[in-house]
Amino acid sequence: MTTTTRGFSGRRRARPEGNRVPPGQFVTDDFPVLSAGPTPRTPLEKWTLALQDGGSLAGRWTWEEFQSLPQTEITVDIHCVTKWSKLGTKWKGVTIDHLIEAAGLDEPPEPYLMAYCDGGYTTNLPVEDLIGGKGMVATHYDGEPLEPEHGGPARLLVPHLYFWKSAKWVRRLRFMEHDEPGFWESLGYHIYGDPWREQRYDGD
Amino acid sequence: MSAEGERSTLDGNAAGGLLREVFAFDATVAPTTCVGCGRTRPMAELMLYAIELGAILRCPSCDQPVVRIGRTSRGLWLDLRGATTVVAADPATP
Ligand SMILES: [Zn+2]
Repeated sequence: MTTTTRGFSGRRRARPEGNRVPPGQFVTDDFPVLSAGPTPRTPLEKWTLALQDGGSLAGRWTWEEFQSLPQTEITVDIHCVTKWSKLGTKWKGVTIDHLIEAAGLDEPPEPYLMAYCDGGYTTNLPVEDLIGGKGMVATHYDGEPLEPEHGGPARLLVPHLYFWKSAKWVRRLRFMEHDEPGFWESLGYHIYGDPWREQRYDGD
Repeated sequence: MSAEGERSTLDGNAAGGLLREVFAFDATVAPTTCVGCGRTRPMAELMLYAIELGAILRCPSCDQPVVRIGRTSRGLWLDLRGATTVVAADPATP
């Protein structure tokens, strides 16, 4: 049985009422695919998601176990650093709050997190951008299981940051004491990536 | 030659000519060795991904990213940690 909760309330920054498109972005109805490598196709029976506190395992879920965690539905706007934005996208998955709770942790053990994916992709995030309903591991898009091209079976979803932070094919989340650059962040892309402040590149 | 443990009195400027020679080559033909599997092939034979953000060139044998390039407003960031060596030779020069 799954519980569905609504109202994934991302922290909203003050900005002109009704303006949903960050500076330098254009709205598209398409869902462009951007990948740094070939699309991995991990069978669900071999899929697991791990939560790590530094080097030690804090939680690990099989696909079946992951489905039994509380499920949350959200509708959000997403913004890619290549300048497209897509409004009103519908997702379902498990919030990072629920993952932390399911791992038996009272609170996040460290202030930063690295996401590791099939295919070797990584991205770094402050934990405060993932908790309080701001981030999830999404398995469904628009009511359907997430397609491999879009990161299925499961991707990170952090809609208030540029979409390269919403890592496709996520398999492991590691809490860390200090921030470290991930795959694009080590190639001149911004360490944080706030679309409302146009933090595309290092130094923005 | 400096003795072991002694710091060089020269800096990279003294290698300027050599650096210009090394970095002025046609990378597409440069034999490049993958850190993942040790195979060597010209960069033109690597597989291209993510051209929207720069370029990720992966080894066709093991998928290792061999050459990674980030295109930013302040330049092109080149990461060659996936390549053990790149032979910067102009094949036209004997
Ligand atoms: Zn290789």
